[in-house]
Amino acid sequence: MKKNKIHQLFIVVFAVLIAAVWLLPMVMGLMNSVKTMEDIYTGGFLSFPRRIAIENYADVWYKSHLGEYFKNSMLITISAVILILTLACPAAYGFARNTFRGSSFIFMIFLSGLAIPLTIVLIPLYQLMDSFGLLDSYFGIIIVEASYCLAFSIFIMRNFFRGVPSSLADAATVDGCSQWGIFLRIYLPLAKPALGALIVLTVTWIWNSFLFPLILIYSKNKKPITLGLAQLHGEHISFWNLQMAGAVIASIVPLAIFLAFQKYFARGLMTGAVKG
Amino acid sequence: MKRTILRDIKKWWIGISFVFPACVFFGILILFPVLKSIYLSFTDYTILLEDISLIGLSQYSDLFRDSKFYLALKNTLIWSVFYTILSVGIGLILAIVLNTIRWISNILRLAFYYPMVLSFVVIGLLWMWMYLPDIGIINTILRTIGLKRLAVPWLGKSSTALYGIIVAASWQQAAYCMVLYLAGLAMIPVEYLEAAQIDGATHLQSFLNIVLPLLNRVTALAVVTTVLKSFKVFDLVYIMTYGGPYRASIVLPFFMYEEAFHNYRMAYGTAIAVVSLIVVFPFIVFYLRHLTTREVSE
Repeated sequence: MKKNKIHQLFIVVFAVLIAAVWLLPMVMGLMNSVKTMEDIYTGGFLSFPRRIAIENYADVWYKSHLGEYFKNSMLITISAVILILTLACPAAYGFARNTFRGSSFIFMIFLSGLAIPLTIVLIPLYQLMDSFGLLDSYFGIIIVEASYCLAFSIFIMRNFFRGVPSSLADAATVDGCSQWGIFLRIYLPLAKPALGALIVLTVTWIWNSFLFPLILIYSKNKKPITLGLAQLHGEHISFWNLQMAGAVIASIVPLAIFLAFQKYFARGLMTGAVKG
Repeated sequence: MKRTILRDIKKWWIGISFVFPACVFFGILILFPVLKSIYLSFTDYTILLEDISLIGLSQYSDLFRDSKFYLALKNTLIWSVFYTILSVGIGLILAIVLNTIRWISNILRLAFYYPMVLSFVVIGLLWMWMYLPDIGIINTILRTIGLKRLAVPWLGKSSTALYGIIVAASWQQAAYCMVLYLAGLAMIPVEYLEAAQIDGATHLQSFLNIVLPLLNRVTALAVVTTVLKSFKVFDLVYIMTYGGPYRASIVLPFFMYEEAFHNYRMAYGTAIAVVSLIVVFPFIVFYLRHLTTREVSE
């Protein structure tokens, strides 16, 4: 027993050390975001700030427009996620309950979308958006981001819906309920845990999306925060403290969601994963 | 007769209405572009030309004669190998360690997992600062422990730039593999290990002969998804080195982006994308088969 406890202690210490290494980049980012450049030059990255230079955040938010970019990201992400939910949930129900002949075939097509690398759609997508005048528009980027998440979203929701016992639906049909009624009144209310996982994952992906906005958006006032941060990096290339403040701002939303809803992240990940 | 036909049509129509909107979006914005990419790769489309004409396999023959393509391909393959080994290996180690101290693993997990919710731009910037030659943390630590020789400009040297980026990427991906392995480990019955211990097996023997084989499915999934991810890398390379120094770190997606959106050779870009797709195709098939065999067994 005692040997086991000492064994455990060693492992805990080891694990905590590795965890500290993993946390180091973020801690460094946070700490240096409130330093002045002189502090960094004199003390290096690992020193404590001599005073908390909170004005870095104000500078980056107002003067460098990161506040605008943050709002753009909010708009794009929230809209896209709403669109995803609206499209994916009924579709997942349709595939899960096989509501029409040929649904499994169509589902296979969606499934293939799971592994499609971005690069193969990029150029024609640019053409398409251009021909519809949707380049550099919120609408354009929103529908693109949503569509790219559709395959995965449908996959997750369909998996979940397949786990709902069909007896519930059968009973409702006997009572004269329509398909849409079953969907809206039975399946959807039950789906909260899966929806949680889906929302949490898609919000993170779309918030952090970089390549689509890079290609499809070019006017300054529509940029999401990922592009804005890259721009900040270019504009203030040697002002690491400002860049770090920007990085913190860009990460606040995903990190907050992550900390608040960790359970849903793990659940969402697992759906693509191990059997059982 | 007529009434039941109408009813059937109505039923079918209602059934389709569930998936119809999603199909429209998916079809127009994902499926159609994939097919168009393949088509465009046989044309001479550049953004400047008004007409595009089919020119057969010229783009491909140009591509196979382009040394930049082979460089990008080589780098991407290197990426696949190292990124996967690092991420899966570290993920496995982390999972084993955390599995032994389950009572505290829930909190410690956060420390390893948070990079997965950071954007690649943020990860890229964080690691760029760590790699700074003079005051970056990595080199400072190397110097203090006496390894001054190793304190090189990691992202500035052609021979180390790619690996520097790969390490940053693995720092993030390891957590995903860790989560997969933790789930897999949780499913191994304790009795197996206890029986082995009674029979006199050492920890190492138990691990190699019992645990690892039982984790084969997890390993396969972790490897495949990580390899698939390695072919999609773009953001990190863009922000950390922009393909430099002197193209030492270009990877296939970046090469495509450069050719299509900077040199305006869009058809050439689609050829690159198609070839990348072909290279990664077996992994895609494996991944999709894995996802669907789950269903068969349910």
